Amino acid sequence: MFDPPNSPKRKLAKDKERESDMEFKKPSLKRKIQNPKDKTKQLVRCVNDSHGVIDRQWLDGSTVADTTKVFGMAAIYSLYIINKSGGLIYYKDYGSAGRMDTNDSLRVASLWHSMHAISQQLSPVSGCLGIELLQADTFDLHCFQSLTGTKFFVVCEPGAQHMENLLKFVYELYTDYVLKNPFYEMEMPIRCELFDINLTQAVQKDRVAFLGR
Amino acid sequence: MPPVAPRSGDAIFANVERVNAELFTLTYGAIVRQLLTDLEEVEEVNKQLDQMGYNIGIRLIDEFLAKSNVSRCNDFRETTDVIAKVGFKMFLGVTASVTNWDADGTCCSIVLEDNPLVDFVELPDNCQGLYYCNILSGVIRGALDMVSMKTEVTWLRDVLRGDDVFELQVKLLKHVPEEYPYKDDE
Repeated sequence: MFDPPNSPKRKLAKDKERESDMEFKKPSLKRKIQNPKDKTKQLVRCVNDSHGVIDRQWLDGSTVADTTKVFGMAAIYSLYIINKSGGLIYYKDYGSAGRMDTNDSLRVASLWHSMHAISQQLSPVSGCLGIELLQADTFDLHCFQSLTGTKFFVVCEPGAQHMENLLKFVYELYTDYVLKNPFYEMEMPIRCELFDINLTQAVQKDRVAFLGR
Repeated sequence: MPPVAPRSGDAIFANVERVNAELFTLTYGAIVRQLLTDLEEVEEVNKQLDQMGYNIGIRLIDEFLAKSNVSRCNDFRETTDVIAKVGFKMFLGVTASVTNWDADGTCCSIVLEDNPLVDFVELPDNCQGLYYCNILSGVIRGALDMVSMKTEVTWLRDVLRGDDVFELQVKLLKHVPEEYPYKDDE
């Protein structure tokens, strides 16, 4: 499935990379201009390593390494789950953009928990249930709080669509693979392999859905 | 994003994976029998069943909320209605009804006509004090605890003891909203 590093095909690709690299500096823009029927520009494969680097190889042999995102599809930088007392019980980053070391992720979680609680008091409208969306220059933060107080939030690129659905889906995965695990202690950090596997599939599915176009 | 409409109990029940009812009844029966053998005292068994139900309830509530999309209930009446119509339907496949509201609106009865836990069961004479379905009272208590309602759930009528239906009395003791500890220095 993957060509070994020294195969002739890959060497050729590397040579072509220099010229096609320039052409593909702004992948999203180029994609729109390309003729969709141009078969040489068809994507042959896309290798996504665990650090979020995407290596794309086109039919004509050119490749491009893109560390940011898949065309047109929002990238998720990281996912957090906080228990009702504000402790971080799950943290996953997707790509180096969202990566944080353990202490920082714990700090972000407690910070968010407090801000969420304070926002309920600050709100001019009564019955406020907390912050749902935080928009900044370089990221968006979508938060979903269940009626039991568990918060699920995702840091993603600005303008990402359907994050609320993703969060609801993560909530369902949590109820299935975490809560139904009899050995999982409530409010403790999540160490459930099935949850990890299914979560990765869910997130990958969202990203891969757009690669085929 | 427009709020998603809550799904009816029937719709969810049709979509979840289900297990053979007899397996369920037999498993529950085995649990109760084993508890009786281990603990010997009927009162102890009642307490254990309630505790087991509580542990189930605290986990079940999230699944219920995730799958049924119910929004926050405005009062206790809505809560018990949702438990009877959606909750029982979703998890046990039976519909319950809510009756006997008291003047405050804090106490009511949930009536179950049919109950998959007790198919084929007859209580022997030496277990007359046993609340066979006490796990259900624990489940309701645990689930409501996680959505900040302290309740007391007791059995009023029990088919295994000679009545015609199962009747659970659910009494709201108090709301305990999550409060951010602003004054934790004092």
